[in-house]
Amino acid sequence: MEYVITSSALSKKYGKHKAVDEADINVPSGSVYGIIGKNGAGKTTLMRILCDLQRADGGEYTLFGVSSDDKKIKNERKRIGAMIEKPMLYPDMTAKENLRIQAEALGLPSFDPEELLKLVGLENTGRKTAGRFSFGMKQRLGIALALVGSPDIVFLDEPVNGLDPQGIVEIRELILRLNREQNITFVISSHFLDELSKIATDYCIMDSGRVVRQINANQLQSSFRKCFELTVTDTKALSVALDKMGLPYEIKDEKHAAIYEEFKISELVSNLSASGCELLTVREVDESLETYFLELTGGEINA
Amino acid sequence: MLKLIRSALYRYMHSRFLYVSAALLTVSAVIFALYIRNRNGLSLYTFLAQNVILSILISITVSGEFCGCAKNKIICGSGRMQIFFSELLSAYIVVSAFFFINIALSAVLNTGFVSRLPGLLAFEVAAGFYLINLSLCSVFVFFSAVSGRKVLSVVLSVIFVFVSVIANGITEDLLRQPEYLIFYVSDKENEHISENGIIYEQDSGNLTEIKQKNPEYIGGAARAIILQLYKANPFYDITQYQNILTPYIYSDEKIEELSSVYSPGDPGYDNPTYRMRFVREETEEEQRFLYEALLYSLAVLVLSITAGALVFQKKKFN
Repeated sequence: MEYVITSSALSKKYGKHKAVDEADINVPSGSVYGIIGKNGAGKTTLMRILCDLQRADGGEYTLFGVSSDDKKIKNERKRIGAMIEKPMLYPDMTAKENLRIQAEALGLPSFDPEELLKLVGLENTGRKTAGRFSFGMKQRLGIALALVGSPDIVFLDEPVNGLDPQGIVEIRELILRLNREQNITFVISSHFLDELSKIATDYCIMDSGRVVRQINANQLQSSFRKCFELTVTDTKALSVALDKMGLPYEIKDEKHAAIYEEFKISELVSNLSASGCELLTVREVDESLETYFLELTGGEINA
Repeated sequence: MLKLIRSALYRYMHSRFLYVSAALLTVSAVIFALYIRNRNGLSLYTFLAQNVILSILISITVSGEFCGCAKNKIICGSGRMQIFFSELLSAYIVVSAFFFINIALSAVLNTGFVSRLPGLLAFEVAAGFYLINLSLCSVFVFFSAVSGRKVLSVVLSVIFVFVSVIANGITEDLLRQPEYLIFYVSDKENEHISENGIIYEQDSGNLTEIKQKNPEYIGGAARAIILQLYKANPFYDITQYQNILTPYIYSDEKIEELSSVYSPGDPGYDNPTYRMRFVREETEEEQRFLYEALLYSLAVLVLSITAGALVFQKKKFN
């Protein structure tokens, strides 16, 4: 597999606090690489280091195979676009002017901003300056800025933050389209795990500065356990029946329970009726990215 | 780097601040020119106004970049030094454009700001003014590199301009203090008469001289430091240029009228701090000043660029 970004023991300290602790990542070419972690897990710092906004204290990384210690990496950075933390805009300029400034800096004087503005849904902003944009519009313009110069890798830090549900869908579709049609590799951090799970092909799970696991979407899917949520009239009776059947389960409350293995409903119903318990509902639930994340890192999600 | 300069100039060209500033600067340049044409000498206030306008324009534009948008360029492989110097050079281009507009307006309005001066002096004065503009611009860029917020860098730059004017007056007063105060005591009326060494004969008695150390006199290393700060102040240069240019700007009649106020032998005539020159010739003292002015402006320019570049190299982008 071809990796566009690799890192080895990448570290960054703030005083005694290890923001990034010997992080090893491998971003496959053409992937949508989702970075997940709680607040302070080191996601943004890792992205900032990769984007040269901060120097690492230790370790190294490569961009398109060129080492961070090699001066030639400057050339490879021209193939990168990013929106880290918040969109950096010129508030007294229009969306078009903002894009043109970035294009001029990249040496693209004949760049036409119309297409990009259309792509992010800002084609009708006219003379309105970026300072008067809503949060969502600023976010879209930030993404458009990251796309100036047709980069091969785009870093997006919380790209759907502040967007309305329709905006979230539009940005998701935009990322998927650019990824599929132009083979752009996306490195995305987001605390919307459900949203991220709809687009990511690969995941990097971070906790306390460390990369806890790297896993691709297929591996993740196959590692999920099957789960059946049951509603019964008496979970004590259910517990006895499930023990008898030798199934792994979890009692949620007096009426609800979860079984983590496939089972014969007829056998369960028969066992329950013997104890005078009635099975009311059965629902098959896939284990989510959120559950997987919590199992790995512990605690609540607050990415 | 050329790409970054083009990008920065695009920002100036599409900023409404540039056009507002251009309008204000043109108005002040016309006032400046008319002031000279009406033979009132150079206007320090016009120069002050122009630099306040430029400080706002440069700070707003450069700090907009240094306070965050430079991130977009660093990500795409531009070096911090490339960004810093492209912003500095773009600011120089804008300041230069306004400087030459000033000169052009002077020519159009036939003020004789430069044309009435002898060739070399005209060049030295123009170069001096230009370098002052560039050194002030470098200071504004430095403030943009230091501050983390756009508003702060504008405030710092504007304050710097006003503080420079005030500091010029204060340091001048400090340096003007004589080391000794001389009192004259009359044996007839027992009156003390002292006006910085100028004696007014108010009685016919015999005067006895009493020499006393001036407590307000600053000497030693402190004086040397204050003197350097005084000379490095751009507004000191402006006042000195004002003194040099005045005889060339005033009419012959005005020169004669003013020259009659002081004549050789008058107490004020020998005091270089007080004396205004009304003779159209360059003295050694003025030649030394013209050379020093260039040198001090260059020193301010180099210092502010170096400090700004070092700060920007370490700047953390949030």
